[in-house]
Amino acid sequence: MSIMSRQKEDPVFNRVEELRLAKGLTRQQLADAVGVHYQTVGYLERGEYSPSLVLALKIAAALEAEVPEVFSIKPFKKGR
Amino acid sequence: MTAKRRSKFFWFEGVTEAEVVRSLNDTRPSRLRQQGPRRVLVWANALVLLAMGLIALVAQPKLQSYLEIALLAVTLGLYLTLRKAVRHISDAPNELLDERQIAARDAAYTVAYRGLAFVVVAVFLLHILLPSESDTGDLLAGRGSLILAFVMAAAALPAMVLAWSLPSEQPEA
Repeated sequence: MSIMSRQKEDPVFNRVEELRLAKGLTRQQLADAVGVHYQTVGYLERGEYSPSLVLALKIAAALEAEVPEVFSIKPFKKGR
Repeated sequence: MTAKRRSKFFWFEGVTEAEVVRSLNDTRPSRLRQQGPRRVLVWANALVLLAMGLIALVAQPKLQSYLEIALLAVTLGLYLTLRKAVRHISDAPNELLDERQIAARDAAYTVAYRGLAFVVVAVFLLHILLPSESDTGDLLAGRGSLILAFVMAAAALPAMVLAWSLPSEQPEA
């Protein structure tokens, strides 16, 4: 993991890529919607960066989902 | 008539708003976005800075001056390239960065500050160990390159740490 990871020991799992693709959004479009750099969306999707609460809320809103549907401290079950 | 907006210059950080924004939004493929070439730059700059510090060993003052100017130009070029390689994140103010970039920059400064302690020790040891030919009692005589190397190291360390640690960028998808 790179130095920008917030908590190496407490990874945050997410479904950002899955939900973004389901909505037909590019990384750049999602990044613009939540006010971050498109590379930051990539870092999030790869689990290399855990977002702040504010950013998690913004991403969930942009993906029209609830935060627990997008982020979890436990791995998501496949097919969910 | 539309007035052209002037790019803000951040004096403390030493960057303009336009260059940071341009760098952050640059989606063209570049080898500088890959960790391997960035690490080569870091090594190159570290070696040039070390060479600058050792210039005081050169006995001929004229040759010493030429080497000083040449190495200063090289390290300046490497420093500017390193800043570009990390998209100016190392020098940009908070208002131009997102939270991940701010976290990465701040983490790099923490590591750089600790690294600077080793640089200070190295400069101090070189100052003590290098032969001095000054009869005037001037402690810094012939030590210009050592001071320049220290200043350039202090300026470039955050960008060097970031360039070393940032993973290779992935293309937009």
